[in-house]
Amino acid sequence: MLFMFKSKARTYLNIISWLLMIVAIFLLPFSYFKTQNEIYLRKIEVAKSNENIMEKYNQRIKTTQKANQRLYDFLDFLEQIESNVYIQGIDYTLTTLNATILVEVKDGVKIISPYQIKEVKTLDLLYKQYKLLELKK
Amino acid sequence: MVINIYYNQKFIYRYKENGLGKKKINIADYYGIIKEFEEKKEMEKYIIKNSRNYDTSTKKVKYISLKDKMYYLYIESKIKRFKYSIYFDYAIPLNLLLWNYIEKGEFDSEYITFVSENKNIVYQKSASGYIYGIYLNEKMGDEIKLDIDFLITLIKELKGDFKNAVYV
Repeated sequence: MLFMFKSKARTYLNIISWLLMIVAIFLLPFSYFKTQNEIYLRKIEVAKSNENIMEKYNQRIKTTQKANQRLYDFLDFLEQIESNVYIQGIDYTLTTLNATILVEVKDGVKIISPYQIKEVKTLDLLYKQYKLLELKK
Repeated sequence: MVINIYYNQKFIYRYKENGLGKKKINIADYYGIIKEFEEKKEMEKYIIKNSRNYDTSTKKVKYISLKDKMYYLYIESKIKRFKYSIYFDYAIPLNLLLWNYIEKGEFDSEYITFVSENKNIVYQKSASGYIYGIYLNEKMGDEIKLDIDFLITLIKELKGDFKNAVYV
């Protein structure tokens, strides 16, 4: 039989460390779910703030659109033209709109209603310059 | 379970056993004494006779009964450094460990001396086994070299005893 002196301090330390470990294991899932929940809430906050920003942006676009309805209509019209269009200059106020554009035309002039386009000058055989006089629907 | 064995707080040997955790055993130099007494009264007489002052009396000196009539005497206040050590789980005095080794083996000579660089530990034969295990400068009887290699072989032999040790 072998006799050994047991360290009391060491045994108490072991018991304390085991207890701490058990408590930590018990608390681990709670802390995990809490952090996950926090992450989720933060994501929601970010999404909400993003939504707000988008709303403001859309509102601004709408207001500008309302104010510049004519210009937008004109730009829409330009988009409808099936050949290449180059804007040389736009002079726009709330009541008037004068614009100089270059339109690529291959065979003569093709006027797309409801705008009146007057031929100004022949540039080339292929390229011609037109001036928009009035914008009327 | 991993069992680490240290000799005077220096790591010497490690081995594995079944179970969880980690145990640190320190083999330390401690000047306890192994003695043979017919009765417990005799032991008390011996303690009082050999006490240096009044403080070291039968209350201060504790004993472990190794076999019948064989006792390991130690002073309680001096053992505190083992009982309140933070680093080691268990501590075993060197002369007690060597006594166990002698008990397992077969020795015939009157004296056995464990010789190392700084100290010699001497055991004397008596009726029921070897006694004393004291630190001396002289060498007597059979000499056994005491170094770390010898300690490791000794630990390998006493593995079972380490497992079923009695804790004081």
